[in-house]
Amino acid sequence: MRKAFINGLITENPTFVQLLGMCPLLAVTTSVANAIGMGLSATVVLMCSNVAISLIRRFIPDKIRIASFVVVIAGFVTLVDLMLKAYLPALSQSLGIFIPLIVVNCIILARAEAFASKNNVLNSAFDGLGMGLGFTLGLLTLASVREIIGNGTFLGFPLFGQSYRPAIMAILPPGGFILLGLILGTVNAVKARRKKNA
Amino acid sequence: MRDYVRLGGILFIITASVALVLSIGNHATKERQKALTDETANKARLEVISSAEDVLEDTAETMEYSKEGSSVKSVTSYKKSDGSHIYAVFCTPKGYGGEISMMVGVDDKLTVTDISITDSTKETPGLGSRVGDTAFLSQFAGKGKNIGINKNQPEGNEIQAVTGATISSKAVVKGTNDAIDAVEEVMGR
Repeated sequence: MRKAFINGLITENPTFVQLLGMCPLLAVTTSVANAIGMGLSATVVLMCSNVAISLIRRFIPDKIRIASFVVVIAGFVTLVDLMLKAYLPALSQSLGIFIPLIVVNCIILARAEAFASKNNVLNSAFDGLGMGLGFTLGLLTLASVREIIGNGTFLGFPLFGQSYRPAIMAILPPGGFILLGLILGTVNAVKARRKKNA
Repeated sequence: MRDYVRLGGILFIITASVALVLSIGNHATKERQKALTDETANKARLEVISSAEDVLEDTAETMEYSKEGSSVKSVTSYKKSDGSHIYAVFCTPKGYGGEISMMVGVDDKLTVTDISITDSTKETPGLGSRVGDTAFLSQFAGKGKNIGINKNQPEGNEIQAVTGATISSKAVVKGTNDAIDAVEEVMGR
């Protein structure tokens, strides 16, 4: 259980290790608030779909498993979308199309196929939570760097004085790619050094 | 053959249960969503005409508006206690990443009273989305028909664009000009 959780958060982090879900990662990380909203929405969907799929895993025939997974995932995504629209309209507006697009987020389908369809409900729930928070961690890291450099704020609060001129590049798509590359490089460098020392 | 029926049946059961859950979810959130949209629009309307005095708020009358090439969606007129009118115009000009939703207040002399951007989230955050800042929008108050745009030194009926966000700025100017034209047309009826 604990292993399933840590696995998703660190060892097999979907963003930094598996490099899954890059499209929403680059698209919504222009601000920290968006990243948190997106990360938590994906976590909720991931946990619910993992639990649901684990519950019905013996009932689903092998031949139609992918179709069934997608239907279940799409159902939860639509529910989350409706809830956000009704209770957090500002967040729903700024995330826009990327909430419905959680349906095709490869992290969620990958966990359904690789984990939830083979493991019990409790483990699947923790796997979903771990992977979801791992994805959130990835979003948060990139979004913090981009918002601080590109807008001079964190969660909307100005960090520097009036004289700071934000490097707009960081919140534009090219800046997203460049910073993502730098962060991945740093993570790999740290991992390589650890391996050497061990 | 039997296999097809069985697989189809199981998939049907799954999709049907998902559909059932979704219809319950939709039913539960529908009214709140509609209330929220109405509330936001109403708040924006009152905001853009708030600089005018003696507006009778309960005389609001909303007309749908659609015209080729105009971004205006609806015009709401308010009576003032001296008998004249003031208008809140809802329009959705095309910006850099999609439509910008905005409300424009126009008085019966066809001058802009105020502008409120209700949705600029499709613009680049921190760049195009800055057309929602007061510093940019406050330039519009008091401007008349055919507002122009200038990157450096705005004169007369011109406003200064947000640095680096010319397309989004132009969209807001187009929305405002469309709104003034729509009010002129509505008043002439």
